[in-house]
Amino acid sequence: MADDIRFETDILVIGGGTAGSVAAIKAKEALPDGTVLLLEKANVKRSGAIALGMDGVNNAIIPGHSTPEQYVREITMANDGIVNQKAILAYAQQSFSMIQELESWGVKFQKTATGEYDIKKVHHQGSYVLPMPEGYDIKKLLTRAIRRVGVKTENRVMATKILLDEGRTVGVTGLNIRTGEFVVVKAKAVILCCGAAGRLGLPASGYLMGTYENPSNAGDGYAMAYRAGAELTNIECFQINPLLKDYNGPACAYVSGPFGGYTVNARGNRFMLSDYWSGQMMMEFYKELTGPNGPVYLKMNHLAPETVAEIGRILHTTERPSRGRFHAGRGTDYGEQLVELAVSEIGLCSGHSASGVWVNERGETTVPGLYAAGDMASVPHNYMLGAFTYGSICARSALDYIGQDDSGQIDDGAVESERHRVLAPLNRPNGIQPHLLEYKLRRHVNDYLQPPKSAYRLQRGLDYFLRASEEVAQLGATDPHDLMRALECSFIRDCAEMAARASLFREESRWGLYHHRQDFPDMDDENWFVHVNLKLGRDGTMNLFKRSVEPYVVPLDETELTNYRRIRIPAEPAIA
Amino acid sequence: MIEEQRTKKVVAGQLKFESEVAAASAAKVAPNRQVSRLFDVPVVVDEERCISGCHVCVESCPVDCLAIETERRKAYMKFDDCWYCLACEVDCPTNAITVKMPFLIR
Repeated sequence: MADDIRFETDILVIGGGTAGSVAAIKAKEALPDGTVLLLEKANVKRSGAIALGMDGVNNAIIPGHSTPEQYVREITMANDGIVNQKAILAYAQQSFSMIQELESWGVKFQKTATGEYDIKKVHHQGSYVLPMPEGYDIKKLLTRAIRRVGVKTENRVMATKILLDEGRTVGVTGLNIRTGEFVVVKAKAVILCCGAAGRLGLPASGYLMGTYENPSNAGDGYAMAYRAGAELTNIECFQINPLLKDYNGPACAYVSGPFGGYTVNARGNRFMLSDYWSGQMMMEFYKELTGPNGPVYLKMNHLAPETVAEIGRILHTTERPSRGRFHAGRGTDYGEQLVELAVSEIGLCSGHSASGVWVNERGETTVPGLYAAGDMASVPHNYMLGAFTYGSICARSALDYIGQDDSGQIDDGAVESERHRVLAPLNRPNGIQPHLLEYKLRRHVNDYLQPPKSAYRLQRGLDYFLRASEEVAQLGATDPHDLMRALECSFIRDCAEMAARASLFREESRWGLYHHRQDFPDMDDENWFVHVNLKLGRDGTMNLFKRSVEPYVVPLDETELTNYRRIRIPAEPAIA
Repeated sequence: MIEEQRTKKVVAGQLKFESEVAAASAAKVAPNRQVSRLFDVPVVVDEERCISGCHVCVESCPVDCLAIETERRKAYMKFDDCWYCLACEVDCPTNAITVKMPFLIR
């Protein structure tokens, strides 16, 4: 057997996407004589949710347009009150300087003729959307900064397990997905930036890799943090997005909305006051989609040809540029036809909803030396700018932590047993093919976990996910790429079990469609105005428990708190 | 025992296994295998334009589904994992790549 590849570093960042790029850059800037290692499953130049750029910032708090307190209120409403406001406020206060820093790296935001940030209103209450019509090369600019400051980058290495010494983080193990070499990294602090659990549900098209999220993000971070004993939260608050039907990418209402586009039903009528993605909005969307006036469409055919062309130019060069090719293939012209929308598969992603590894306003998880940022950390509706900002916050926290006590040692026994687990599928070349088990896992996620939820269905799903552990142990792989997919099946299974258990635990409905329980259709603030957290128990089983909502730092009155429950446009009273 | 039942000649009207548990166990020791064949894949490479020795697209792919064919030294889609993100197409220095929508979502 080939020798392991070994690295030793001060700070280790796992995942070089949105959050990880900034975490690595900021850590290295502050540590000129120290080492920062970045492990990336793909290649940093094209990895993560913004591999092909981004068309805008969805949550910019620009002085003069909004205040951090207004933003905290808006996100509290959009999450039916179950938030750690301190963590949102930390983002809100620090994100404007992040925008300025991004500009210094060459990122371009839309400005008005007078040079002001060109803020648009998409949210239900305030104005927070800052377009980036030239946002297609943002990942290249970040990669340039990573190289400039001297971050050591290892591409095509996936992390598999977090190593602990007496409960403190001391490193990770990994796999080079091209060579099949086993990797061991010793680190004083680890920042997890592994993105969403994007391969949880199966897209309605049946195409495994046709996910909303970048399919590299299989829930690696959620599962590794769970296995390391970290707390996860709001897992039952699923991510479900309104997307282009079949293409399964964003439409995107945030781009077309400011130009005058909006969501309509099959009768061509608007039915929602706001196209900003929230659980409550998704409930109205879902009702309309599955009701007598479904399907639902994005309407742009009333706009001037120049406007339609400009929307097309943005949609076809950033984020998911193949949107144009998809529509061309079906003969859909934004200026002529309505664009059909549908709901996405379920996923876990704090960037859009609230599920994630529990972090506080310093980006700390509940495991010492372990930090998390971006779509996998629990700060709700954090989007791209939240990932950047929390990447920076985590870097600062990790820098404060290292040097306090660096005596932790890697346990050779733990490395050995993980090496055995990781490489085992290669010894079973005739084992179950990874894509088959993945399909089966994700099909069961759709069958049993997709809202509307009920205890009977959730329990049936959970029964299978537990049984699937046996199937994971029979996976076979014939090359390192297959081995990566096999290891991802284990991450997907862990996430599915978490999603089932958390959904069963919260016996009420909340966050609109995200956690709609048919057997408990009402919101029950008396018993459930709490986070549902989960962690790996000492006995090896998943423990679920209530965690109180931290006292608000920005108070809301009752009317404000329920604002997002009034998204639907009321029916016109019939004329007598 | 299970192996013996698995390889037993099937007689019409008779059960091949003495119980469904045994049948299920046999399925575990002898899983189905898929036979390789050519597929209509999303990433199309114009080999005239593709430069031998270049591997920009292989490095760009976020799901690592591309590789260089060792004999002809040209890029091709090796694994059926395409996310139709267009990174390979956008980054190819000679415009040799065209990405088609995967059939299931076309």
